Amino acid sequence: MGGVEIRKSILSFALLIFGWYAVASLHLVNPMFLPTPFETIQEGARLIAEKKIFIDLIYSFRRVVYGVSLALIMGIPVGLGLGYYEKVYQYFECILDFFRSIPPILTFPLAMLIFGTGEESRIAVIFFGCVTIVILNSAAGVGNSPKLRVNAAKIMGASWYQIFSRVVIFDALPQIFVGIRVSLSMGVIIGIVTEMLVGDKYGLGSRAVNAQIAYDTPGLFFTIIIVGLIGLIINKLLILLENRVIHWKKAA
Amino acid sequence: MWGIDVKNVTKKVKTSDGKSELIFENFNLQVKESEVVGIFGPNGCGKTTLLNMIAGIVKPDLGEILIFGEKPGRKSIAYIFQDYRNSLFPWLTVKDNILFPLSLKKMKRKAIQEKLDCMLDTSNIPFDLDKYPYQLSGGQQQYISILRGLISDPIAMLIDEPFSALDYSNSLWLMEKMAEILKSMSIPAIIVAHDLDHLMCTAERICFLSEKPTSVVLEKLIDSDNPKRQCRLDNSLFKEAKQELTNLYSRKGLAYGWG
Repeated sequence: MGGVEIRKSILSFALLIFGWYAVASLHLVNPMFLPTPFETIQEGARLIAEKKIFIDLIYSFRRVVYGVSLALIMGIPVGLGLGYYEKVYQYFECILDFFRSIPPILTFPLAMLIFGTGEESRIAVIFFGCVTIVILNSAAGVGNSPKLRVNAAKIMGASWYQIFSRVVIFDALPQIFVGIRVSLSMGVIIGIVTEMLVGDKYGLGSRAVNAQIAYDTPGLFFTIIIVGLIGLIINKLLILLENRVIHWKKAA
Repeated sequence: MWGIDVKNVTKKVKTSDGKSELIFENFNLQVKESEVVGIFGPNGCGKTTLLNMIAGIVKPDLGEILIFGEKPGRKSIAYIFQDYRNSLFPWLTVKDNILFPLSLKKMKRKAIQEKLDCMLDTSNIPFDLDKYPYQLSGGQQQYISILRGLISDPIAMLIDEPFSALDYSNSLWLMEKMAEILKSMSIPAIIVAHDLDHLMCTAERICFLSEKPTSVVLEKLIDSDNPKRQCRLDNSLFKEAKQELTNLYSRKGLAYGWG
């Protein structure tokens, strides 16, 4: 993102906040439901000063990172393998689509039965929701890459392992990155919903629910904004990393 | 012994609508030990399939292909593809692309470096080796893929329409380089091209192919000691020879429906 784009983004955020301020301070909406930006920031400052928001952040973030990491560790090799052996993939395609069609959060009750209400069940649901995304994207990355490079490597005498580790993985990298980005967003969504469903003591999802129960709309607004910002930052950082790693795609 | 010997090859391929189509029936082509043969033919007559069979990635249904008396796939063959963008490895630098075939073998780093130095001495590479392929022009990229093919001391060279993805100035530049390389190498080479000029500059013998099932309908020897080979398109001898070929081509064009 260049300087001009950053300036444009800041301007649009400033306009959004100003609009929010205008609507709230003119009492166009019941102040019960829409606090002013100042009230929200004040509440935010309190939460930051008391370090409460950080504990929630760490808990939520840890669940997402564990769940998504597990999905990547398992999903990328499986996806690459399935993409490479197209015939095997044809057997699994329908099953994968079936699992992908199940809203991940629907498996949360089952996960709680198996793992209890602690961390494990939440991580398991995040894993379940993300692993199909990672598998499908990695497989598509291999399937859609030009076969010519693999052929060229074969003619040069590359072994099966060399073709895989030195050609196929690199060709699939752009699509693997798409899988990582989508599954991280999915992981944040699932993680927060599990926190809202069965309250843990900590987590941004439970904070939002608790704020609602206490009619603490500034706190609720602040939590929502924090979650939005986290998603935005994760996405931007990943794009930055992607442009670094997959330098050749940017030029093409 | 022939450098490349294609003997009575028959090959059917499956078309996109599931039918099988006979491309070659008892096809023969012989290339001498250090001869450069140009292949000229209509679209879809199986030129690329022929190269793939010689390279060993596609097997003929019947018949035999021998390279210096051995089956394809045993010894290193340089195969230059038309689509250099998708045959080079964009995540590797130019240097690593050229050295890729050597890095697949268990070769000592010192030996690899010596090979590279040797290549740099003989061929004058006009660009930075630490760049990435996408930072170079099309002609330069194709040149890299040629160097990559040559680094592993191939016993034969297959070149599939190396110029057709290049613009005019790039293809002129590469044509000169290619003529230089082919002259200095003494291995059998088959070069497929769509443009007679390109073949005239690089090949010693041009084979004209027919429609499917494909056979060689005409051969034309280009005298390799002649100034024609010096790749001067304005050379009068070159012009004469090209005129002769163009005449033959248009006559054959009518007979075989190439037009």
